[in-house]
Amino acid sequence: MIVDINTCFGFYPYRKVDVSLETLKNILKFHRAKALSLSLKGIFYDATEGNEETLNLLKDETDVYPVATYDPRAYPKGIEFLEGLRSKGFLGIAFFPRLQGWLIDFAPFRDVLEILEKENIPIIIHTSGYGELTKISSLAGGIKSPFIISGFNYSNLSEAIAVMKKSENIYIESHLFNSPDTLEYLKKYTGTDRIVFGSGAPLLSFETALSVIEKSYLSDEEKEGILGRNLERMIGVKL
Amino acid sequence: MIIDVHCHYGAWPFAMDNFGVDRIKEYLDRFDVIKAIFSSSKAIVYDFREGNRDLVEFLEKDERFYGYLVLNPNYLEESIEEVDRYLDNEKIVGIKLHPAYSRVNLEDKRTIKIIEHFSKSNLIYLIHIWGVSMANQLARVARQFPDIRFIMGHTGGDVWFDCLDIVKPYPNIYVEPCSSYADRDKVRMSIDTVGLDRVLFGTDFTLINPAFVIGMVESSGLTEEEKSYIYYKNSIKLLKGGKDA
Repeated sequence: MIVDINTCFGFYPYRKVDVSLETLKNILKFHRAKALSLSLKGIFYDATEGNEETLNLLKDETDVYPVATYDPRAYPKGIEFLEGLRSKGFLGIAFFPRLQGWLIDFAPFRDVLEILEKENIPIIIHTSGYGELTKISSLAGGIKSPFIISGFNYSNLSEAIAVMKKSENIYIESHLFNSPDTLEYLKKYTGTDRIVFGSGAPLLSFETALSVIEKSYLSDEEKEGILGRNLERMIGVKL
Repeated sequence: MIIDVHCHYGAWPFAMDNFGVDRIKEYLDRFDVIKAIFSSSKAIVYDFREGNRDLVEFLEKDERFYGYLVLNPNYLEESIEEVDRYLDNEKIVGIKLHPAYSRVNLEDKRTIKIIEHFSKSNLIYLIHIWGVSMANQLARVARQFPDIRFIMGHTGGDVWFDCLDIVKPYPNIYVEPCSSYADRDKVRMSIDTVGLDRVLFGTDFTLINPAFVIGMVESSGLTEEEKSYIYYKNSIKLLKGGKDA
């Protein structure tokens, strides 16, 4: 079983490309995969409208599960939507500081995290740049929720290793892993239990992300963990 | 079967193992890479002559290994001497320029002097291109030297779609797709914009693994015939000096 934690659908404003829900579903169907996903409307335009669209379009889907988002630049507008996310059906909430141009130590984001602490929901953060994960680890220290960080490749893996060794609730997502060696390297220093599979599909290549996992020298059990079981264990739900 | 036109030999200042000869060979075996063209990471980020010297020794370790000499236009005379030193080495097929690391842009008079000096040599240029500005520079240089073949590394990076349009009119510019972001439509759009015969397979190995870029090709909806041109046929032709594979 494969569960992709990093997918999206909707309209992509930066260039002409098909990122429709139908395309995503076709990719998932081809690979017999499931996914956590969200509407791009919530990232680029308005979080509440996007979250409602995500719930509405995915309500009858059996293989695509909704993820919420919030843009701290709009704080406190729409903050009430974040209460009861799990009961609304969301399996996680994703943040996009790099894309939206805010920093991890942005005060509104700290307030949002305090609200989310009561929700016990995975917090997915798409970021990159040296020092960002270090800041996240400081914030995550006082919060029990798991943090899933997306945005690691060869250039900032050192930071992931250093932080994961100290913070048990920090996980990393795999879509920027440029090589199977990355997984073998992480295994040596942090183990593989806190790595979860993500692809960035349909914007990015699902085959690329999967190929990096499959071509590694990890055991089948470790690969199965990364491709889905680690996530299931984290959220306590069998997908 | 694969020919990889964008590989590196040497260490990187990142959390990753340094690849020795045996490990590189193992990777080439694993992905059926029949030829790989390397440049020295040491030469790119530090001392180009010391790095090139390491590279030339390394190239002798396997018949699949070929190389680009890295030049640093800050050292114009030394760069020209460097090419003269290795020009007869059959393992050297081209020159690698990395304007971001050397901080000398592609249209700088020193870079142009190097290109002019070796314009009759049949050397291929792999140039790190990141962004519209660098792609425009490459386009102007390619127009100035229509008989020299240039590879636009990374297809221009994060704005590859704009860079494709910029280099489209220049048949002596080839593209290769490697990047940390595996855009699903990058290879397909490259073919649609510059033509199938100008798209090569390059990975940035050992920074980026063949598995990563193969995934980009495989998710592009290409026919097996189209893929064969990307994976090796176009590179065979390029290495033969433009003659058919």
